[in-house]
Amino acid sequence: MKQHLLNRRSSWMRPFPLTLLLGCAATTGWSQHYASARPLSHASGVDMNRQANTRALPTKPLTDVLAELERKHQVVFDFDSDVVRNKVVGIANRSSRTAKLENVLAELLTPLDLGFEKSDSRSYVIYSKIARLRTSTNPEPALPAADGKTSPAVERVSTNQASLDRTVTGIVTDASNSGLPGVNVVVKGTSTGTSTDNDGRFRLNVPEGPATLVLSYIGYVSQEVDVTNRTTISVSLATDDRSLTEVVVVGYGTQKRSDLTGAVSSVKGEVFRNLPVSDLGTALQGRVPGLLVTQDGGQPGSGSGIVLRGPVSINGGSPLFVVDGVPLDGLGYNFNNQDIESIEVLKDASAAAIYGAKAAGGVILVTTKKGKSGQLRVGLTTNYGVRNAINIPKTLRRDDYLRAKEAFGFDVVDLYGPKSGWGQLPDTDWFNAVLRQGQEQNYTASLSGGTEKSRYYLSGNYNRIDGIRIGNWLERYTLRLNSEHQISSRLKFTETFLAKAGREDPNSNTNQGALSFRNTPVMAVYDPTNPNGGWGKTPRGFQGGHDVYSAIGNDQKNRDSEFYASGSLEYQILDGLTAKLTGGTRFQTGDNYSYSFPADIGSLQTEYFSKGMYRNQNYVGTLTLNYAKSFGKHTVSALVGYEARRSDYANLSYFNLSPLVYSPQSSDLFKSTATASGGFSQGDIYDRILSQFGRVEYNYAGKYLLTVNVRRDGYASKFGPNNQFGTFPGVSVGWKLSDEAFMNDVTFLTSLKLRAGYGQLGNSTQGDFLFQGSYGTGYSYDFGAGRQSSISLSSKLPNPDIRWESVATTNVGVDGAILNNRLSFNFDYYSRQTRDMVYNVNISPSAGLGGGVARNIGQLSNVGFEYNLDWRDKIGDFTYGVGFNGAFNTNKLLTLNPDLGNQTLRNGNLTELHDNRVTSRSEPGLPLGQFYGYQVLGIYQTKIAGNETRPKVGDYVPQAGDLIYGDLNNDGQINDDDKTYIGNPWPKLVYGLNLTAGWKGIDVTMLFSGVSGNQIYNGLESYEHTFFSDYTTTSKIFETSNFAGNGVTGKPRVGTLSDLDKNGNWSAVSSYHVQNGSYLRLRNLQVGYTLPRSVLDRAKISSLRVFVMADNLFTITSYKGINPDLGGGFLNRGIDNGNFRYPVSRLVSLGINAEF
Amino acid sequence: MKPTRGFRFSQVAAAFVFTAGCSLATVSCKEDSFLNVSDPNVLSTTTFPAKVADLDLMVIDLYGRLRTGFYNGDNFRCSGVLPDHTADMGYNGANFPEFAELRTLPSDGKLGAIWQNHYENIARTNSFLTELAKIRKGTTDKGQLTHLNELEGEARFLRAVNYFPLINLFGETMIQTEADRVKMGIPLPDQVATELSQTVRERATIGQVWDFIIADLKKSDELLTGKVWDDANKPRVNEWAVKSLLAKSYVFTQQWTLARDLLKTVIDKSGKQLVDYAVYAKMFNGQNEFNKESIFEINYTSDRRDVWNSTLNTSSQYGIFISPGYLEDDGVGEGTNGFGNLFIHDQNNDRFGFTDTTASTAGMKSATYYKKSVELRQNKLVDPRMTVGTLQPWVDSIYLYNKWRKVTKARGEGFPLAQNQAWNHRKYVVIDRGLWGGEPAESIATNFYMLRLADVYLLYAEALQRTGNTAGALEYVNKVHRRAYDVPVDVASKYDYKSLTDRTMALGASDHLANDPLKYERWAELFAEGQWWFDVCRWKIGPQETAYYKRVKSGLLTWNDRKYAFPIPESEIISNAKVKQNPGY
Repeated sequence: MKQHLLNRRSSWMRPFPLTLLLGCAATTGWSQHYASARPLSHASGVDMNRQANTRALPTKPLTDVLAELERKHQVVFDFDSDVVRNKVVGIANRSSRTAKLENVLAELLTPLDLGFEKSDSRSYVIYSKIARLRTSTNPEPALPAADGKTSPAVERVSTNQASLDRTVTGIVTDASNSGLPGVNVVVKGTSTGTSTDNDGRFRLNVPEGPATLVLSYIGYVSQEVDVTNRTTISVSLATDDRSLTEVVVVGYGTQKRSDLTGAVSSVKGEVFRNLPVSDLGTALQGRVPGLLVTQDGGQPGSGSGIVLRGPVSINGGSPLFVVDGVPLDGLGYNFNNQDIESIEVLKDASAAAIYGAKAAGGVILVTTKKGKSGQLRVGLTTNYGVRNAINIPKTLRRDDYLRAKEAFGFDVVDLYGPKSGWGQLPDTDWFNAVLRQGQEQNYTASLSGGTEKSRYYLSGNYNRIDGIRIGNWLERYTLRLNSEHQISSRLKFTETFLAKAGREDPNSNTNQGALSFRNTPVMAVYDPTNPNGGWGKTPRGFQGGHDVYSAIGNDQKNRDSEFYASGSLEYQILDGLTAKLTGGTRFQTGDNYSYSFPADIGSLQTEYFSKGMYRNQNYVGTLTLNYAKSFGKHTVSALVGYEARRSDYANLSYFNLSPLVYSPQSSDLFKSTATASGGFSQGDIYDRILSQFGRVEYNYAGKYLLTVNVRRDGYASKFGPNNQFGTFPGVSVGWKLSDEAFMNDVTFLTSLKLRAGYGQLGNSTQGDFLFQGSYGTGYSYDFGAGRQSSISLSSKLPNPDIRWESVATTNVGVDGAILNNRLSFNFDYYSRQTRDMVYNVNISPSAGLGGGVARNIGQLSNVGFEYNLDWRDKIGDFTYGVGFNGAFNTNKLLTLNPDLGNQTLRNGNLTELHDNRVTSRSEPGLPLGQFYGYQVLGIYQTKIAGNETRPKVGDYVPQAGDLIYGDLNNDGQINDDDKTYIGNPWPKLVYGLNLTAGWKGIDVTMLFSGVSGNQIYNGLESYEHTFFSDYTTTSKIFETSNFAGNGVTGKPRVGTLSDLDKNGNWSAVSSYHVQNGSYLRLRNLQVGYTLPRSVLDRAKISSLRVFVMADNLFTITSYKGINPDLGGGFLNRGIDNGNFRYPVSRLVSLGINAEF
Repeated sequence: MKPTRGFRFSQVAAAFVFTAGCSLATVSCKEDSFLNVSDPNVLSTTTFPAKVADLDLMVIDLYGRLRTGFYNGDNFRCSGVLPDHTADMGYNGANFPEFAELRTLPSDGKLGAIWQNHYENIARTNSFLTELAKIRKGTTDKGQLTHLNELEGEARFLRAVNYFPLINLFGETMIQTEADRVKMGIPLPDQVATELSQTVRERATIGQVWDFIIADLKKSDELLTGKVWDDANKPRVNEWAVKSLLAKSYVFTQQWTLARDLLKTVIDKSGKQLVDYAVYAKMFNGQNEFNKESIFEINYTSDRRDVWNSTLNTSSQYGIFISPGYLEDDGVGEGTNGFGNLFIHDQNNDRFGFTDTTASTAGMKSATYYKKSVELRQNKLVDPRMTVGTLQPWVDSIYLYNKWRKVTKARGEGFPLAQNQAWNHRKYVVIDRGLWGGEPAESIATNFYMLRLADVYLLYAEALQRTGNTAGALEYVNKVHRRAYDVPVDVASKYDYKSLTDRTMALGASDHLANDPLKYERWAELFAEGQWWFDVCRWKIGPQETAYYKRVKSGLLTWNDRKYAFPIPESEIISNAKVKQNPGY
């Protein structure tokens, strides 16, 4: 047995030395694939080879080997000592020593990224290839011919070499003042150059007279420095986000941006710096072409709606988030955006197919920060700001309120007593009472560093937001530890860990929405004479409760914590063949507590208590095998993978009344357990997905690119055994046109690539277990011996054949840059066709089985165009950039299932004032969720005259001041038959504008976002114009027709109590309430000042920046509601029930970024 | 050997990757089991119901669903007391004026809820009966078979109970002539749909619907005859409830002979009798429930209050909506024991014979008003049922927050009630404790009477009249009348009507009830119990009623014959291509 094991081990060992040397070249390239855009990772790829050499076989310093060769072949090698310093080569197995010198040199030097050129018959120049690469606009310089033919460039080299006569030394650092190793330093106009050492230092001979050094490095903006009269320089390189050689994260791997064939947008983590803490979606607003982000409300910690390239399905569908390789359904407030290194948005099916299930709404890949080797870096960021509600309507104050109530027909004397006493009535501004100035504070500390083998990033964050509604606050602590460990030359371990703890009073208890109109000014907030709580009491005629009591008389405390961890082991089985095992879990748990204090607010408020807990666990395990290989001009890489995902959810809660003590914490401290106590628990909810996937990338000569993705998913809780699996392929091709020889003369063009792709994705956002009929809890009944629970048929018509929605996307794109990378651009055109959409088809209520049955019912089309333009330039010390992105999308419902006849989908609910009426309709041939109602032609100016006929609304004949509805079928009746399409909630254009500028330490960034060409159904304005029940309203009621002595005005009449608005001016769904929803908002403005180095050096601070930031500074819009930034579902979009939306606020904050 | 150390490390890692790979592969082998999950929160139709005990669990649900049908608080408010003008509204929110003025639109939310609730209940009875038939096939035990018969009898009755209000509210018309039987009824599913095509049904004719209801009740009668429930099951249906509803269905379909004979059987054989006035006066507010007069009632019990109308909660919320106003501790403030959304339509006071029309609070607080009111009551110059159905401001008192408190005018929540007398409802409201802050708060245990003997007597009187026995009809009208006046039911009294055209208490000479004791007695006796609107529709007295009540708070009443039927809800119209709307909508 022992013998056998040993044998096996040796068979494992055998290939290593054989392939090692040969593999070096491929591995170098490959490691570049895998490295992130950070230069140090690139360096680590090289280091890995060096270690491999050291460990695997006897080595010699390169200089020794070269000296040997000089002796043997009687030649001279010219090289800068920096180029060969510390370089070693293996000596085993090298080609015969009698081989041709050029072949030996090629074999020896290529793995070390060195090149050579024959300068004359007996001498060779050895140089760093990276240096060459940097001096050429062509990223792939032709290798020197092995036969040693002299090229014109070499001629120049020898010329310059002849006039070496002085030395310049210097140090190159990055923005954080750390030395940058591997930076190419080249004398402009020559091939003379070197690269910096591990500390970022270099030493170079330059010709006498005028000379300029060009400093360049992958991922950094190149800089030129005049060294005519200098012998030492110190240069700081700035990162370059746009570099076409940067590496981007794609599904289960990375690709060079220049090799991308799918539609992928990247956002660098730096852009999130100091942004107010919000969910990631909101932070992405305006930054990614094709991403429509809406933030409906300003509740601290609330999320946003994200729609990528239009609605993917009538059934909904939002992007899948994948954080460091682990898929998550959403990130929310728990995630600290400051930890983000980069974000990639996979937009088309050819890119996202690798994620198959759940990817139809696009994929957002989040990569968090990793440590960098080198010195320890400590970062500190803090900011503090204030928030103010904006655009809040002003409800009526006492005198106007009483006047309006009287005009509306209320018996004001009966309600409020004789007029003489009105001056003594309370006069409360309730919005003022429940809103306040909010605050936001944020502290982040980070620590990163490590060795080349082991790197870490540690960050901690505390955030607290005090909302603009009284009593509303939340706070959060997060801790992240990311690290990477090169355990051996072939084994790498990477982990990410996030812990979060939060507490919150969500202040969800309101009167009628966060901005409740159910208030009356003639009620005091506080009444000291009220022994039971001291609250003001509801006056006669008002039963709407007490919004301040609702807010702070109800003590809510929610706590939650989250642990998220992922680890991966990456093992290089053979050169080019890597296995990677990733495991990830997200564990969330929390509890909530709610207690209503006893109070008398005109009605006695019961003490009410509830408490609950929940637990949510997600697991994912992924195994991938990756193989990469080059054969001549062919480069192939392939990936196969297997993945299992599972999530479980459970909760438990109870409530009770009449506690024995104030604010009880235990379920036992109640007077009675018989009447009200009850707990209920919900069992686990399962979500299980099993997947296989693969990808092949192929490129020929680096110019012709092909990517093929495929994924097969089985989704247990969504699809029954009949149709559990779905297979989703994607293919895309690319052509780097600018690399073709015939483009050499087109000098203004830096790069140009054409892309095309096609792929299919699955969508599966409908509910669970729709394929199974079931029985659940029924109605209880008491036959005389206490409540008995029952079992009842669930309201569901099961569909055992429910299957995946299929989403096919065709994408054509162009990426490029002109004017020496100053202007880069991307254009994408796509057509996305969704078939077999799952929708809960309305079942007739008479079937008694609830609202609908899930069926695969129809086709939806989205066609669109996206662009991204990025201009960056520098004028002297002034650097600036302008980024402009935009997307046009048109969605159209093509068909619904013919079985359904002419059924259309009607959705969208207005508020109670409108009797919760349906606003939106989706019908084949039109975009989803079109507003549907009466067409308003104007306002009747006169009373009905003798023989005039007006279409009746029910039995009602419209009067002066009523809206004129179009009687479309001319039957003299306004009813459902006269409804028509009155608005489109989908913007024609979604755009963002980024402006950046810097000058001598001062930096300014501005982000604008906007939409245009959409409409909003303004459900709020009815509350602003009329008295609904005992609600209040605004002074706009005085602008309505025939009110308080008005004639006919530009606004329809609200009627009076004895002559109600039977025309439905303010309650029916009509075009009168449809408004232009276009807006442009200055989402964020940041102005910073980085203190000069001379000041900081003394304090041992690497960098210090102070900044002022404003979020949501202004909005340009003609929309009349509070906030035009409005989302909604796909079938009921753009409906503004504004009083139920937590108002958005403006944040102005001050902060500091420091690094040590 | 030095390099081996590195390899060993790799080896370990390789082994790790291999092992992990294998475990994933194992998952892969067990793909089927990994993906074989079922909803842990429910029971699958493939395994449930399997035995008689399962049906016992399901039948509880069928009874529990009585709370979601016609007698659900919200539904009862809209279809029970607003259309018949028992109530006027103090609240100007949506779904109030529409029902009071009978101008409901197909899109009105509450209309859809009433329709849907009943059909959901019907689907459960359909499913129950199908499953019961399956289980019966495998049952041989005699005791179990008897029990299955009882379960079927209960389910058929409960299905009829749901179809009964539906056909009355939504059928194109009530039956007056043979021709009415072929007019549009309602969809009549007798099975649970298992695929989409089965959910689309056209409206059965009115005759078909009634035949179905009658067939269910006949079968139920057959299965339940002789069954006597013990005290722990007294809310369950027995043969007398079935016979009463069957007889009522005969009345509603004008099958007078059948109705007469069956009603007579109930009267003679059921052992039911009209309870004394003292019991009667207190039987609508949580006391004297399951009394000798009650034939079938919905048992509400005090229960958890977390979610209104939750499936678990066995209490009612109706009393909150129509709550009475009361005088607060300070002697000035006026509270309301609930929401105060509804009050007694002023015209009802006249019908009960109350001659004073004082509307101001000051006037009502006066001693003369009090004295006059008490005298009218004591001398029975007003119909005593006025005090059973209403709470008169500043005359009546209710007990809450530890003391007796004067009732005030109903508290309007939108409409000014200064010009109204604004009396409060008494039937089914809470008059013995405070709802806010008290325990158990909104959890109201007041039972609803679906069938009681006074109703049977009056239906019997009507059947006798229609079959030519006027004297018999008069006697049964008088029996009900006598009980209200607290005199022996079976003995002639000074309060008796002398004929079926004798003067009633209704004051207004132009009131069509002024000389129609049979109709008047149904109005007065069953006031605010959700019966009158059906009577208005089957007698087609909409114009007279509109003329009498004239207006509600939201506006003038107008009549149009389409109002005899509610519109079919929009949700049904748009999802059921075969269904046609009622005429005029």
